[in-house]
Order: sequence, then C-alpha cells, then structure tokens
Amino acid sequence: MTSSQSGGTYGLSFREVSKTYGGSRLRPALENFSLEVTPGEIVGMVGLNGAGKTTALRIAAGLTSASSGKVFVRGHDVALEKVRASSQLGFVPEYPYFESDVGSLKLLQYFAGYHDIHGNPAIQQCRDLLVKVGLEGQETARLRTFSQGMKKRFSLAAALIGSPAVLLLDEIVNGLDPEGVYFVRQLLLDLRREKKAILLSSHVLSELQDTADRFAIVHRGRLVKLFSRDALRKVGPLPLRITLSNFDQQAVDLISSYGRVSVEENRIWVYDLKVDPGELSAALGRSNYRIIDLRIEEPSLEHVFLELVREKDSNPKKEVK
Amino acid sequence: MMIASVLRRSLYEISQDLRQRSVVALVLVLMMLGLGVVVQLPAPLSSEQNFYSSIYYFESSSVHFEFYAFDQLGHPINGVPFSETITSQTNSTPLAKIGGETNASGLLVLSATLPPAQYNVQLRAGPQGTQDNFFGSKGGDFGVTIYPSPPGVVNPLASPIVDPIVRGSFYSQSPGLNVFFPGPNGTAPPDYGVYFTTIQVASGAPIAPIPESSMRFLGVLDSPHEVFPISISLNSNESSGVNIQLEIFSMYGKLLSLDANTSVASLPSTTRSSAGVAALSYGSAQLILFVPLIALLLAFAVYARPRITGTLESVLVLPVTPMGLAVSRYLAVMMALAIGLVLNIALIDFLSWHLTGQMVGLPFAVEVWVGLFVPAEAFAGMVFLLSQASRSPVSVLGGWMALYGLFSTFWFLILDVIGNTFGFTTGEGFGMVRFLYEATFANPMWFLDLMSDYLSGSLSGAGGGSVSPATYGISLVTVVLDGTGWVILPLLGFLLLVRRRR
Repeated sequence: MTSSQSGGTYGLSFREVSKTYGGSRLRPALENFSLEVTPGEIVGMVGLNGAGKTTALRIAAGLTSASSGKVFVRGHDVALEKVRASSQLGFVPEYPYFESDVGSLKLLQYFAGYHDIHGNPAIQQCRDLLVKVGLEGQETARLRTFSQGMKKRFSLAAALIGSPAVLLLDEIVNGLDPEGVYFVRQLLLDLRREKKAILLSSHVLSELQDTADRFAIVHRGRLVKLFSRDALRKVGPLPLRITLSNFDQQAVDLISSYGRVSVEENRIWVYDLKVDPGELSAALGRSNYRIIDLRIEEPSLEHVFLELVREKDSNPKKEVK
Repeated sequence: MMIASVLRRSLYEISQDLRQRSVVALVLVLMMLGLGVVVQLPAPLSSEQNFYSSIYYFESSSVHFEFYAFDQLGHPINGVPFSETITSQTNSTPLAKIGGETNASGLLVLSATLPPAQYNVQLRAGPQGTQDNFFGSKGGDFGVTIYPSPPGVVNPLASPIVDPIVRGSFYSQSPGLNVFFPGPNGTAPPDYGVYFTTIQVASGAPIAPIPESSMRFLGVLDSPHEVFPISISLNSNESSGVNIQLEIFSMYGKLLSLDANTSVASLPSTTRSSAGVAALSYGSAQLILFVPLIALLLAFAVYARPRITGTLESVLVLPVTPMGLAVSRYLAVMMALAIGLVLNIALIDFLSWHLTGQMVGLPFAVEVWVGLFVPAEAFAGMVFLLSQASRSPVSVLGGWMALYGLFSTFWFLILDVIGNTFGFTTGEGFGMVRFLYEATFANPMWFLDLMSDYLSGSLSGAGGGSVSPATYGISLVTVVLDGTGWVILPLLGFLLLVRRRR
C-alpha cells in the first residue's frame, strides 16, 4: 500500500501525529493528533497558547517534521511527497515574513514559478490574486511598506497561488481591521464553496464560531474534542447568566453555593447549577438582591472551549465526550 | 518524473537567486576587486617596443621600398614616418627624396624613378628619439646601400625580416616570429615555405644556408607579413648565444632569404610572465582577504538572512523540498562566486593587457581562479553551515568572523604557539619549515599558495636549498584532495543539518 493510497480523504488528513521538540524528555507539542478535513469544509482549531495548533499546521505545511505519524494532503504524504503535497496546499502563517525589498507582484510571480506557472499566465494570476485579497494597486509596492494587515492579505494571496485544494490558516484575522475580518470571512465562505479543505486556527473564537463547520479543541498537544457547529449546543453545560443591580461580593458568595461561578462586571455566570433557576432567583430575592436579568446563556464556542479546558485541566485522565 | 520536477525547480531557484540585485551587485564588486591589480602590475614594456621591417625591389625604371611597422604583440602601427634620400653611389648628389607614413595596416610603399643600380640610401625611420627596433638600432638615421637585382626580386633593406613577438590572445600567451617578406613586386607571396633551426652563434663566423631538409618547418607564408608560433625547448643556460636561423624557400625549393639575427633568448616566455606573477601575487596577498568577505555576503544574502529572518519559510511551504532548496541556494552562491571570479580575472587580464601589453596567461588565470574559488566556497559553506546550526545573527556572523580571524590574522600566531610548544626548530627533520608548509593544508586562505608551491616545482627547504614540494607532502593528489575537502566538507555539514534540523 502506498502512502497515497493510505492518505484517506482527498482533503487534509492527520494520522496519529506526534511532535516532540528538543528531546523525548519534554512534553510533546503534539500527541497522537488525528484529524480529517474534507473538501468544502472549514475546521476551526481552538486551543490555548502552546496547545499545539501551530505545530500541527507547520507539520502539515512541511515546515516541521513529525516525530511520528503522517499527514496527507490530497493523499500525498507531506514527509515523503513534499513537492506533490505542497503543490496542493497553501499556508498562511500567524506572522508572515517575506522578502521586504521586493515588489508584491514580483514576489508572487517568484512563488508562482514553483507551481510551474511562468510568464504572462503567472502575471495574470498574481494580479488577480492581489485584487482578490484587496491589494489592487499595490503591485509594485515593496512589502516593507505594507502594514501587518496588508502582509496578512498578501500572505493569503501567496497561499492561493495555483488554486490549492487545502488551505492552512494560522490566526488569519490577527492584525486585520474590522473590514479585513469581514473580508476574510467572506473569502473563507467563497473558498468553501470552491470545495477547498480549510483548517483554520484562531484565538478569535466568535469569528470561528461564525465560520467553521467543525471545531477541533486542542489542549496540551492533544485533540480533546471535535464537534460540528450543529452539535455546539449539545456539547457543553449551558450557563445561567444573572445580572444584578446591587451586585457585591456577598452575592457572588451566595450564588457560589448553587454552582460554579464566573464574574464579569455586574454579570455572573453560573455553571453546573445544582438547583432550579427559580430557586436561585428566590434565594437572591430573599437576600434583597434585585435581579435585572436572568437567562440561560446561548452556548458559545468560547464557553464550551473554556469549560472543556477547565475540565481537562482538573481531570487530565478523564476522556471528554 | 520526480527527479525532473526537483531538477526543474532547482534550476528555477538558481536562476532566480542569480538575478537578485544583491547577488548581481556582489558579483560586480568581486569583479571590480580586480582593479587593485594595477598596483602590482609591472612597468609597461611594450608601448614603445615597436619593430620596423623593410624590403626593396627594382622594376625596369624604378625602385620600390616597402615598410612594415608593428609592435611586440604583432599589431600593425599606423602613422610611423619613414623618409629616404637616395644618392648616387659615385657621388652624393641626391637623386630622389621620398617619404610617408604607414597606413592602418602598418604598411608604407615608397617609390622612386631610378633604374636598377647601386645606390646609397639615407633612411630616417620612425619618430626620432624613440626606442624602436630597427636592425638592432633604436630608430633614427641610417645609411644603407642597395644593390641592383632582377626586376621584382625582393631584398631585405637594412633590417631583419624576422622579429620575435608575443603572440597574445585572450588567456593565451606564447612566443611568435613576425616574418615580413612580400612576394615579387610587393605582392602576396605564392606560398613560400618558412623553415627554421637554432644555431650557435660564433663571433665573426659567416652564416651559411642550411638545407630545408635539415630544418624545422615553421609555416607557409602567403601574405607579405605573418606571425608564426614557435616553440623551442631550451633552458635559460642553453639559450645563451643561440640564435634562430630562418630561411624562406620558394614553392620550388629555391632559397629566397635567410635571417639569423634573432636570438632564442629574445623570445618571450610562455610560462611565467610578469603579468601572471603580478596576478598571482595580487590574488594570494590581497584578493584572498576580500574574496571570503564577498563569499560571506553572498551566502548571507542568499541563505543565511532569509533563514534568520524567517523569510525562507515563505519558500519552504511551496512545492520544494528543504534539501532541494538548500542545495539550489548553495549552487547559486557557488555559481555567483565562480562567475565573479571569472570576471575578476578577466578584468585583471584586461588591465594587464592594456597597461603592460602582457596577458596574464591561461595557466596563471586558472591557478588564480581555482586558488580563490576554493577558499571562497569554503567560507560560503561555513555561512550556510552556521546559519543552519543557529538562527541567531550574532552566532552566525560571530562564528564566521572567528573562523576568518583564525585563518587570516591569527594563523601564524597559532602556528608559532604550536611550533614552540612542540619545540620545532629550523633544520630539524620535522622542524618549523616542514610544519609551516604542511600547515597550509589546514587553511583555505592558503590554498592559492599551496597550488603555487606545487606548480613551482621547488621550495626553499629547511637548510636553505631548494627541495621538491613532495618533500612536504605537496603533490597533485594532496592538493586536489585538500581543495576538494575545503569545498565539500562545509557543504556536507550543512546538508546534514538541513536533514536533521526540522
């Protein structure tokens, strides 16, 4: 069986991938990480800093080699068939670094040469890509004159050369202004319609929640949860949000006896509520607290993520369902 | 298919790297370093080293003189003045005054309406006060006698028909003989055979013709003047007092002219010219200090800086393998250095040619090129190796500077310390001299000197006499191994790290 045959889907496939930097005594940056991203799907990868998201993306991009396991891009093993795999893959790193003294069109043309696109077709495709990412009119501008957001857009254009089937986007909206964020969101939806397999990592969970079809929660190098957007509502415990007009510490202490509490200004989130919400409301009334608002919070990716991480940290051996 | 794909991308990368502005600029800087050879070049030799050859022949009622002016490189000289006053043999009454200047082909024909007879000719040749060669004299006025001869028959006029010149073409230099001997009535010779041999010149002894069967064939003369390459293997001691006897035969074997005035010692050397020595000296003393710096900058621009700043990763995500990219960029630097050094030596040769009239010569050019290319590659390889080992610019540049300092400034200090530590002294079996010679293998900046030591064939030994380079282990095999090692080892170390450091 060849590596191509074992590559599974024609999108992106991580198979039991582990990576340990600097020696086996250290904790693996990635451990038995398996994930499939199918064509026309956006998978959002969520994790704390150092969770292993960037390591996973860099291994898939061929920038870092896996200590064990394999990554396939459209059936091509990244480690063994780097050229074929990379010809089907575009990567936008969190902090893109490019030769700064080169014009944007010229640099894109240089990249296009690696996809065997030369001459006028290269110029035309690169111009189109610059327009597509909102950098029209910047063809001759050197990259050192670009803002961080423009570099991100340029990086996206570079990743789209050759129309790759798989896209790896690391913190794509970092450094973008609101218009840029909106633009990227629309572009991602367009790319999904073009049947690209997209693996996206971001700290802006609200953004991911609106864009991704599935979410992969990565914690301490392990994929701890993978679920679809539809399943988001079913994933975590729904918190109760209470807003008090006469908020104080005693109120927090009181509510803490009914569940786990998280406080933000005069709003209190209660997780794992042990009683009926009405009973908690009555208890607060008895203590002369005036309730402005009390509601079951809509499930958000952020809450789910934080809950999962908290649960995993408190009981590392417990399997998360 | 896969190999073709990798090769295609490799060639693409190399071509892109070589077009980088910084690479082009550094190649040009490397070329311009050749300008410095000016201070090393010997004083001009040939600018005034001109030769004049002349013949005469009669027709039924006129006499014709033909002059040919050329420099020591065999190039014709335009505008050289010649004038003649022809007087009767019996009295000094001027019969004719004629004069003119050579044309762009270096030729001048002067004619006078005089019947065949014996005449005295007062000849003024060339610009006065110059050092031009005219039958052993240095320009000026000459009195010669011409004798009647059958119409059209060519006779030498007070000058040799043969002169030694330097045969020069780009990157080649060898001795030649310029032969000036037109055919009947000044026309192109009908395939005269030119032969030569060497003769021991005895004082006062007449020069006797030698049968063509006893001489060496030099070539066929089918134009009034021609340069023939000549090769005579005599060492400097043997060539003393030996002349070249050159004879010209008609196509029917009749001896037409004989010249035995050119000494073997006057032929230019083919091996060690002063321009070549100047290039070698400039290469080993000055260029060797700067070439590694250019190598550093090239390797830094092409690989180390992109790796340190992270811009290399923007290429590594493309359809290319890390090894393929590394090798391509290494080859690009190698080619840039090779091209830069070729241009450098070409500029040295160009300057040498125009300032001294001498070529560096192919053997010297190759020696200097190889002697500089090896250390350049070694130092470029060190940059690749260091930048692959560390992404800290301080580590890369600091490490490289330390190696450069070790091999240049501190080399002899280190050798002295080692020599003193082990008690090496002059004259011992394994003394300081041997140690210093053998230590050249361990320093890439001394590779050019190592090659020169080998090519020179003899070295100053510990006792002051000359010894064979092989005495100190300097042979073709060891020199080639050393040069190959300096090019290959840093590259291998670099590629090993590329393979491991991901």
